[in-house]
Amino acid sequence: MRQGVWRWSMLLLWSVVPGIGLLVACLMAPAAPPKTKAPTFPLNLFAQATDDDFSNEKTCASCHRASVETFARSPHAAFMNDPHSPVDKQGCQACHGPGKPHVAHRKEDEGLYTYVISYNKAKPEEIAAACLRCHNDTLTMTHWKRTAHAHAGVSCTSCHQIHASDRLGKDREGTPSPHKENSGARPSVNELPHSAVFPNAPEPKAMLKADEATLCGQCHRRTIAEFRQHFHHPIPEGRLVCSDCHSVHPNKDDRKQVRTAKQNCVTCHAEVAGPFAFEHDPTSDLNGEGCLECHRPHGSPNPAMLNTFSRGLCIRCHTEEAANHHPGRNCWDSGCHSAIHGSNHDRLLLGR
Amino acid sequence: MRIVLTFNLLIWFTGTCLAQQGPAPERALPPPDPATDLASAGGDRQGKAASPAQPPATPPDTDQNGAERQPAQPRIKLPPLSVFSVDLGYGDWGLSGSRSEFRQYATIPTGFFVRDLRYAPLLRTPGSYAFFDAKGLVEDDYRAETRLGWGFGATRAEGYLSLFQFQDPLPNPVDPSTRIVSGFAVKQILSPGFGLTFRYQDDRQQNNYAVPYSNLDQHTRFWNVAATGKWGPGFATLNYSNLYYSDHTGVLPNMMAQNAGLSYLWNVSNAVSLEASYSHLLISQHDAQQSKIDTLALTGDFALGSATDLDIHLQQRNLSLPTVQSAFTRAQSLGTASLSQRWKSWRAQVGVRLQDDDRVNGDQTYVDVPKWSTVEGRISGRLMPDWRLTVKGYTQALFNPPPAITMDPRSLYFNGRNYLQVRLEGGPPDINYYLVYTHQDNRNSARSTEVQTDQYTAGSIWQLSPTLSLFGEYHHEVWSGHTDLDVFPTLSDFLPDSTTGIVELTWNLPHLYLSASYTGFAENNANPLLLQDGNAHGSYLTLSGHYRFPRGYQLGLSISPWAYHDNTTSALDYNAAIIMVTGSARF
Repeated sequence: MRQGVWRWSMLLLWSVVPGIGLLVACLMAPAAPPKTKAPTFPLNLFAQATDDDFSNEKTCASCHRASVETFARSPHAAFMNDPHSPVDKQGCQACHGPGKPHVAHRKEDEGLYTYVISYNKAKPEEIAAACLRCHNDTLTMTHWKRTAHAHAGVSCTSCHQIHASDRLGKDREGTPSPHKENSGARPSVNELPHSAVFPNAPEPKAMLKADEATLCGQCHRRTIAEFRQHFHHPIPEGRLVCSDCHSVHPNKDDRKQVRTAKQNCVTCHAEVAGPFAFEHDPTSDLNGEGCLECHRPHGSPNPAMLNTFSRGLCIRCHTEEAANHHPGRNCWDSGCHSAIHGSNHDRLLLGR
Repeated sequence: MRIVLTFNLLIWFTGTCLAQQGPAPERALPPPDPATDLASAGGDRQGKAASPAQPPATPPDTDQNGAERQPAQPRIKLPPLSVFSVDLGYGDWGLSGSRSEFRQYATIPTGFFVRDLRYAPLLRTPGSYAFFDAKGLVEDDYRAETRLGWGFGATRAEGYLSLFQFQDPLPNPVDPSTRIVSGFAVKQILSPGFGLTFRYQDDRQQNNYAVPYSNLDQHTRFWNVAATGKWGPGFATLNYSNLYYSDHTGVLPNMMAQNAGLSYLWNVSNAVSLEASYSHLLISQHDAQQSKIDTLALTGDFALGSATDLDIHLQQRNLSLPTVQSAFTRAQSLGTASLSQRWKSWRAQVGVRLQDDDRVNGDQTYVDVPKWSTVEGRISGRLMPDWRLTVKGYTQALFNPPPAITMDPRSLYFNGRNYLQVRLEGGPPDINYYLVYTHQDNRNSARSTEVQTDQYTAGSIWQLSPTLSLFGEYHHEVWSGHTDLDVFPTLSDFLPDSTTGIVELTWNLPHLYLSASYTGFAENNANPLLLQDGNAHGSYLTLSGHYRFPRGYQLGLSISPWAYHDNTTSALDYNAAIIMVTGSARF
């Protein structure tokens, strides 16, 4: 006991005190003159521009006629011409930067993309910074950087359709994507004629390039393959979409790290929410994987999307019940342990 | 102790980052060059003439903004926008066999049906839009949704209503089940960077099952309101959500769960952000004491360099569950740290996650403290210009696993988990290949138990010609496992392998679209108890085509011979020859 107290005391002394001391030293150090840091690309384009640096859209159309003419049909168009918005948040230049510096440097090989935001050339962090100039009510740059998509280099424009030509495959009118200035470039797989992964998908929302299964499935191949198993969440039938379970843009108050699997599932499956008088410990969610301890949420060859078939699910943990404990049936539909998610009446989960 | 050390690390880094320079700016805009700056074309603002050694800053044939006039580009001919479209159809199942298996997840329309009804008016008010779409109206399955917006996105609203009918697949079928989900959401931007959101959802379920399962007749109402926006030097979020559940069979008690949360993100500098959040969840059940869950979290984001980020997250959760009389967790401490690095086209991330639980044991006589330690990593990048590699995985260990109060006191927990995924994709311009390998294993060393799976997914999209494309994918899962008992039936007898495959050929002409798609699956299951759904295979072929007339009308035909076979329970087999004729018009 004394040795434990001594050990904790030394640990606190040698870790906390120097840390606090360092913090105090930094705060007490003579304050350097405040440095006004110039924002990095692409925000520097807007920070250093004056109203005179913004041209009208006829200038854009002189080179980018197709994009300007078809933009009116783009899903983003309805939001771009608010006369009450500042000039740097209107029209083409709200996304691509002030026009006049771009025009002045348009013939420079190396400097061209320093004076304009090209969403084909920019890095994912730069694209996010540009989009979040306006969309910071959705999430901040800090929150975006924490996401798995940010770590994987997936940018806003990987999923969202801004110009009409961004849509995967044909548009709803059935016409192919409009003429693209860089049509001579090698097409990416995203530009190839595309059919939906599952034909019954709901209408894509939030200006997505395609329905969610098709869009997410471009990277999450294995997950889409799991949905083709016999037992699956009804995404192929158009009953659900990926974002019904997955928080692609974590809200400022809802990050995947703090939201347990069970909280996600009980939104639709409230009958297993509990708390029950007698819990089935792994399904209570905080010890182990929660619902995922037994279920595969995308698809499975086993009924009820279980990880294992029949009583094999139970004998993974309750190994002693493998052969001699009432063999011959599933544990939960043999009339015995039917309250497998928790019971208000019986410790052995023999009834709800 | 780990939590204390992690918190100390946070203090050290905070102090270090506050004292150091921020990341060097990248691609900073150089000062304007008077030789090319259009603002000084023909001379600077003071009216001085341009240097005679410089070429004229104003090129000839420029427009009023100084842009060089380009040769006239052809106008893009766009089809007229349609405001209203209707899609009607006639379908026939051609079904023989198990109707309940055929309707396991949805009910395909039969007879005459309204496949799609869409109305998207062209609103005169600038910055506004409206959209209404209904699929399968008056059918057993239908879905309707609407979206509205005005004020250039300042106000957005959406609503939806869905009715699903499906059937529990059984040899002796029971009545169909019904689920009705409806809801709406409104978002209002009150000022730049500040918004208010309200969501409501109503979910009514009537699921019919065979004995011994109990039918579900329940109603869930959920609503949520959140306010987010700038407050002082950072961003604040305040939210409240309410879920009310009622069981109309009277078996489960009615339940209300209310959650209130507050978080604040403080951008200390360009390199440091700190966020604190708190949530309080209150669960009220009829004739039971209230349960509470409090969660406090602190997150720090540190930009150690222009391409290096460090995230640290600490969380403490306290649970009060007086209704629970068996094992439960009364407190949880969680700490994570993640370091990510970007260089050229590569990205790497490594992280550690530490979790301690205070777990009250099954007869509530003492408290165990199991500890989980997880190390995870991810690396992705381009091997060659046309090929991309991603490798990710984690390994988890459980220390101090709690003993069980069952007849066998050995721990029931998996004390070791490993996960690895390797993905390779790329190819020449006309072909995209992908290969995904996934390995996962869980171990309980106290009981000599291991469950392992290896999954292989390989596919390709091949652009045979500008109008013809071929897609194929093969997915195979191999499962294995063992426990300390080697008496039939063993664990491995309940771990089926499975295979799915799809081949799709698409021919996309200007007015004609044809596709042929085949999907198949098969299971290899020992099924020692000879239960239904143990060994099944299905094949689903869909041939479809539609022709688009110049005025936008469209005719379509699809023929889908589907077959499902259960090796053990033939009463679940079915064969279907689904024929659908559709016609659509746009106005």
